[in-house]
Amino acid sequence: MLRLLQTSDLHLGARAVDLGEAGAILRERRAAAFERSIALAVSEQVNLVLIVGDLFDTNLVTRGLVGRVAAGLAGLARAGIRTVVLPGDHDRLEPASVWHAFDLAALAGAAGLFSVLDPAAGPAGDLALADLGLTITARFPAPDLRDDRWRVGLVHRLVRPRDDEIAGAGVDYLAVGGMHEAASGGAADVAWGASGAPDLVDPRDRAGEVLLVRLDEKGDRRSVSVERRRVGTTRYESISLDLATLADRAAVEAAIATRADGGAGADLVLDVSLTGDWADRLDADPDAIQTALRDRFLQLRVRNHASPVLSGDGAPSAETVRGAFIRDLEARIATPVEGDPPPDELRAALRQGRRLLAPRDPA
Amino acid sequence: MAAFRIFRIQLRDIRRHHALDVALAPGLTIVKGPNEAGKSTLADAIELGLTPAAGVRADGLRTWGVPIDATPSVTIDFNIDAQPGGEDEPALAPPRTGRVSRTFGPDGPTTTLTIDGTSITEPAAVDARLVELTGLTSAALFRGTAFVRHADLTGISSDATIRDRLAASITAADWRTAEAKASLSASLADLNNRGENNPGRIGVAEAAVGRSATLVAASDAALEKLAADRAAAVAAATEQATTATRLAERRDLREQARRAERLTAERDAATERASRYIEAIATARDLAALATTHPSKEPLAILRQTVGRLVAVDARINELKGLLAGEVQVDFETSAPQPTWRLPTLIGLIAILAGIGLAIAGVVAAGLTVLLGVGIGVALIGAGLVVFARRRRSAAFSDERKKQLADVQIDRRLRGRSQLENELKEAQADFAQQLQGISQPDMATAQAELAAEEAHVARMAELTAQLERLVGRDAVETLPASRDAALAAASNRSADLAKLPDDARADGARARLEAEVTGGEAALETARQAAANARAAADANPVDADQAAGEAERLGVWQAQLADLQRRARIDAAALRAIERAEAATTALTSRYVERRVNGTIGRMTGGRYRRVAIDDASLAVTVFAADRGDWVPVESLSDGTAEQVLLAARIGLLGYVTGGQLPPLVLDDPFAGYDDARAARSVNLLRELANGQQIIYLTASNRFDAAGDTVVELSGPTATDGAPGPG
Repeated sequence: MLRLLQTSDLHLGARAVDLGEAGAILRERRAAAFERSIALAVSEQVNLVLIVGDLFDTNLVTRGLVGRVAAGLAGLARAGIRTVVLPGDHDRLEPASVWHAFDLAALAGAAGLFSVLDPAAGPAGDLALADLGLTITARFPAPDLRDDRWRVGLVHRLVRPRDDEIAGAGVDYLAVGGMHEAASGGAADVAWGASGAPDLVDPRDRAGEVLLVRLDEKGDRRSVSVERRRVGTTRYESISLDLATLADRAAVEAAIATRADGGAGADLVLDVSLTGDWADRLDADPDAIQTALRDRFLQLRVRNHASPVLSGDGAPSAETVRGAFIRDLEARIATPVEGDPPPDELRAALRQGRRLLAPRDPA
Repeated sequence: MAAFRIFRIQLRDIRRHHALDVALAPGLTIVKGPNEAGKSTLADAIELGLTPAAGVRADGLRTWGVPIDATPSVTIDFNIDAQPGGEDEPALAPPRTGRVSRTFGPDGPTTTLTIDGTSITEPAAVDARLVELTGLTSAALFRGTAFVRHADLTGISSDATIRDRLAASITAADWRTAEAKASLSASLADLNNRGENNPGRIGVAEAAVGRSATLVAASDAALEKLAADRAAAVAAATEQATTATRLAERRDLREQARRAERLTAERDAATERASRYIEAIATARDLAALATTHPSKEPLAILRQTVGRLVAVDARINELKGLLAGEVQVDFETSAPQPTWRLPTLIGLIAILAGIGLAIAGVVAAGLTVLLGVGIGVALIGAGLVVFARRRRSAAFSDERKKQLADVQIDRRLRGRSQLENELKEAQADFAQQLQGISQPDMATAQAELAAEEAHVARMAELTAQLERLVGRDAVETLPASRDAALAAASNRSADLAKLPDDARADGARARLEAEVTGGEAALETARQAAANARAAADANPVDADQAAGEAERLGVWQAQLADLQRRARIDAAALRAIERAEAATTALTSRYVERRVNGTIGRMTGGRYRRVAIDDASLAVTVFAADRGDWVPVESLSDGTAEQVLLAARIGLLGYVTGGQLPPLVLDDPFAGYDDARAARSVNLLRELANGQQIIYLTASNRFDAAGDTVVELSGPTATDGAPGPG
């Protein structure tokens, strides 16, 4: 029986420009998830760790990050665990790639236990691990080796492989990276699995897991089982709040703050979209709300997609400034005038002016 | 227009009034009382009752001296005029009656509005309904339009004041316009300010974006350089590896070339050895043949000795035959005279001895020195004789030899002819015996055989020497094996050579490859240096990708903030422009409306002196047509009183406009206080006329308007006095 730990899409060193200061935190979390994956591999006494692409987000990673990865690989090497890496589309195997710029095997003290697959190398790129009774390939369909070794294929692609591709892969197990989501299945006699990223890389990811793959053989019967294990902590959530259903700003903030209950916000990247009709009386400034609540979350973004209610016939008399203002802007929203800002900004201006011009007691 | 008329107002615990219950006329009500009688409080109560009062708490209203938990309240009972339809048409709306009651608690008011038999208490709904009924959207609007204080009209002396007051009155219709514009302008200034010392938020964000972008650009450039450096390092390492591989190939080829050279040499040597062995085998075969084909049966040495003997014997025979053939002649003349050398020698020796004796005597005996000379002379003579004698002796011995030879010759001659003949016979027998010994018939044949044998032996010697030169002292029987071994070695070497690449076997390959290896080693060293330099350059690049990522993320934040601020600025600017457009549009409307209303009233207020007023839309400058000048003149050029009348007319005219057609009560806080009686009378008469259309409440401390009022309400002044003695 062989036990494999499969991970991919770690994107170590990735920039998260739209996350601002939280980008550094996410980078650190991804590195920590990598280290937890290694700790899991050691504790589970796996025979082999497969990294199916995009270990690094770029080939221009720092020596420090490479050193940190090497330290992790050294832990695997100390435990006698082999590591096989398939370069991805971010850390492509090119002349100046991280794989050439650094001798990871030497840095990790893992000579003989660390391999980088080169899919372009043809048969020479196959990795025969005689001691494990295993051959790893990145060529598909895999060549008929005419032996009784296990055959494991590694592929990095952005889309889920089709059943016919899986069935025709020519391997016992197909490890898929690049999909950014955990999934597994089988077609014909071929089992396949994708781990996704071990921690959040992109909000669209369904991340946080690695796969423990078991290759079992009883008599002539071979079986592959895939078990998902959570190693990541960062979560992403996107919610919409309909302002029409919320009485005041406190209600808006309360609806957001519940997501952080019980300390859940510390691991949560929360995107809040304010939608629906935004009544003039409702003070729901997204920036103010974001500022008020951001300390409760790993990252909080509040974006306004709500629209001020158009007045229509309910607008004040056109003979008043407020009435004339509302009619003027609503007409310009309906029929854009050259030089005006885009309609969404005109709507915001409408709400702004309507709020400022709203009758109220200055006292 | 539907007039909103208060017919009863009740105040409880509001400022001056602990309990006030006043009935008002639907037309003109004169509320009179001394200072501090609570006239303004009544106006405030109307405001509190009819305009949105959210946030107004009891603390600011409560009458002095009442319990702290007293809840001030105002209750207003009102009628709303029916809205008549057209001729022969039903009324648009019937008259309505209602009550609004507000009680102010510590946290704000509670309100009940009852109209048409229905009561509502929800604050927002009450406010909205009251706005519908009165047109008063706010307390400020009430104060700006429906409540005219004397102070609003007085002090008009500068050119700008009346325009500003009018503008203030007009914009009071949307009193928040100015505030909104100010707010937006302040916001825009806060965003767009470009001052170095006090930059706006956009400026700050732009500067931050600029700084951050510069850092990011520098980081990205450094990263690009790092990429290039790493590519160069990898390329250099690849070149080093390629060079090393090429060098290894050259070295390997050189080794093969060396081997080829060695094999070639060995092949050639083996071939040459094989050739020698082949030649040696042939030579040995020739030698073997010669060994069995000697011309003579006798060994060459014996043959040569025998032939030599034959020659010698033959010569002796010939000599003996020659001797025996002639006469014996003896030559006696060979004897010579016996030389005489002994006597002179003896005499010389004696003379020498005598001379020596004399000389000694001459030395020993004094005075006989002459003897010394004589002795020497005698000795010298003796020596001369001895020399002479020695010469003679030599001549004597030469002669003696000759004599001995002559004696031999003579002896021979003397031995006789028979001896010679015997000797001849012996020689001839010896000769024959020698010929027989070598089985030759004669000496010539023997000599011929000797010559042939010598040639044969010489040939054999030559071949033997040749064989030794070819194979040394190898045994002949080993030659074929050696030949075969050499041939096999040559063949093997040829086969091995054939396995080597052409480049290694080519002529001069080794030398060429030696040169190439030397060049390759230099190239490898150069490549090694280049790789080390490239690695060093890559290692020396200080860029930190994490730091660059952080800076890029900060830039992203700043860019987002800048975009947001710019968006805000665009929104604020759009809102401000729209408000200004609305303001311009409504100001024109307002101006025309106010003009019409002023023109309808100013004539009556001024006794017909002025009847036409014009208001400029843009500047709100007010001009009045002065009949005595026959031209339009600025209102500021008229008397303050006239200007006040124009402004009052404008305020009154404006009210219906800004309330959207509703006509709330017009409360005047004694604006005519400074008028002379005639003007005051004209003005109050105008109020009476206006009171047909809307309720007017005139607050005054004077009695001179009592007659004009439909109702006169008199409020009493305060009665308490301070008992303490005054200063001085």
